[in-house]
Amino acid sequence: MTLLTVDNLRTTFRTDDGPVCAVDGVSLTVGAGKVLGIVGESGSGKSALSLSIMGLLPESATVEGSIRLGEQELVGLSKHDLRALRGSEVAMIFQDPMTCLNPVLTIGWQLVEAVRLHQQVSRREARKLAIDGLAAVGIPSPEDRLRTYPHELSGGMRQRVMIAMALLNRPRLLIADEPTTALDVTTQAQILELMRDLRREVDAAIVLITHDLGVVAEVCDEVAVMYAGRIVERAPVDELFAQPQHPYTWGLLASLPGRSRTGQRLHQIPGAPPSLLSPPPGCRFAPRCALVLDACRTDPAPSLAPVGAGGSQVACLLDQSTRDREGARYAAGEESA
Amino acid sequence: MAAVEEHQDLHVDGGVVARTPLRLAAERLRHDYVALGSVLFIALLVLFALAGTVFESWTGHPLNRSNASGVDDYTLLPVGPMVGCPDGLASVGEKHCFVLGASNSLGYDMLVQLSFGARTSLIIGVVATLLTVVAALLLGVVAGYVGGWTDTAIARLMDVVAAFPFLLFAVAASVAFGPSLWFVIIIIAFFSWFYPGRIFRGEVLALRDREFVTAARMLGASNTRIVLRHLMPQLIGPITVYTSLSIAGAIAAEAALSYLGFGLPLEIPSWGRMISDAVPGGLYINAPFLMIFPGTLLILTVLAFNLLGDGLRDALDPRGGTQL
Repeated sequence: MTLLTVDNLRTTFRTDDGPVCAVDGVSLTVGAGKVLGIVGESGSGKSALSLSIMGLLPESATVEGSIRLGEQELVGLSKHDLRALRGSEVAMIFQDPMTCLNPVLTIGWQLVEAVRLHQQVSRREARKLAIDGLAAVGIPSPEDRLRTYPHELSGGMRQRVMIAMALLNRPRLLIADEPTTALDVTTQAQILELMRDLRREVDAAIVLITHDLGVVAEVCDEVAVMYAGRIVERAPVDELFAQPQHPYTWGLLASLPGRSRTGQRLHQIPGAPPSLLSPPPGCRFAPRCALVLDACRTDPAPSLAPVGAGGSQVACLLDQSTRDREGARYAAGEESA
Repeated sequence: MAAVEEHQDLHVDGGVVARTPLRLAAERLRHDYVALGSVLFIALLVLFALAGTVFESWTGHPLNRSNASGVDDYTLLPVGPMVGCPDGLASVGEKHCFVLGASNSLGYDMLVQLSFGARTSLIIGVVATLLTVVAALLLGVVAGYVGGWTDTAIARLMDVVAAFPFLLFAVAASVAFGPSLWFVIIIIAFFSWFYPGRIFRGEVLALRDREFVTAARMLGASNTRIVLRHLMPQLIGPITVYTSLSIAGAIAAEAALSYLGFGLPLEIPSWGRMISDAVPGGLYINAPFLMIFPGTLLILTVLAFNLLGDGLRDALDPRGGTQL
């Protein structure tokens, strides 16, 4: 069952230098109990996309297109109605657990507050829910933890608290914006483990935003690769790693640290992402693409089209045989230097 | 080093004992002897102010009453401390005995006037500061949180008020409105709110874009709730500090106005006026205590509130180190 449907979403920021279209015609769907990974480098529009869904964009941004949660349209909803949805129907986990908890208030205060924002329950019941929530994310002696302040907890613990807080009101959609980026590797593994477990338990749709393909491989069902505000490739996770279709995805795969031998320089995609103030016509990856065709440099840009039997979609003008050949090389890790 | 000690402190009886930021601040304050001395002085000053009627009955000299025996018959100077008390303190209560001398050429009792003057100073200091802090919070927090044109308008208003010459305006206004206690309180608050207001605005401006505010919004909290429940607790530090500093400023401002002879009606005793009473005819040259008593009290009081404010700032500043 499809829970989240994003249709032709355009998010534009007004800036002093002109409008910046951070999300440009993105469409995607996520089913209940499924995890969609969104990968892309910094500035590719991942966070703008997630903030658009949450309705947390600053005043200077405008959102066009459609975001539907179940049957409900979120674009154009009043502030009041959006607020009622946030924290109860949709919730979000942020990148840095060090800064997203209020340093001068206890964990318990903040959790109880989160419950009572959406549920008409007594303080005592809210406390009970908070304790259950902490226990569910694997925090030992949750009752004692309620009295502690964020600074007394480690980064991993704080991220668990944040996850508990996001899940307190049983949201149907959970957006995780790089939830493991600020954590050390061991803790990352634990948090990913936790998210995998939770996904089974709470049956929420999860949108996982990351630039770490390793994380994608671990927890996602489907992946959308974003580049310069557009989705360039969408595929089930196994397909993405077995038959990557877009040259940008190849570049990401080749850049994985494990792909290079020790002592070798890591692969990098030549060039830099385009300025979104004046994006290049046609495919936005064309200026950096090794296999670029003349047609790639002219509008209209290629749109997502299904390829193969695996359910992949790609926005690329290369012919299928080239893509299959090159994709197989990158999937096998041959193209590493 | 300090961090290690703090760490050990956290583990008492094997369990983790949480120390709230306020408890940490209280602990730091307990080791700040200057601040503690200021608290002690302020406490004694409050007692001194409350004892006004006691002094009246003890000395037998009511407030604002001229006593012929308070003025020396030959020199026409106010009598000095313990002058005319043949048996020392035991003779207090006889009409000739002034413990601290007389406070002006009408023969008011210095002790009684000082005590009621302390009451005036404290009332003006506290009430004007309450108004100041409330106005500063309202305008500062709104400006910082809402931003945009609201912020620009309020920030420019702060600049305008800051640019006003306080004494000139206060003197002119006191002529226009006539002397009264409320006039003094309101004029002082009017010229003080912009300073803590700027501080609160800056604090909120810095806090507004912190991630925990976004997180609170993510959970569905409204703006009012974010300001009152999530941001206000962070302002407790600056509010406390500027309350103390602002009391000192208000007391000094009242004394300045009264010294110039504006603001307070004559029946309300004031240290500032007591100092100015020593000026005509160079009274202070022959009777320096006329200036020394109220002057010293005024300096010590303003100093105490300022030092307490500094101590609170050090104690509440998490970057100040624990120094335990």
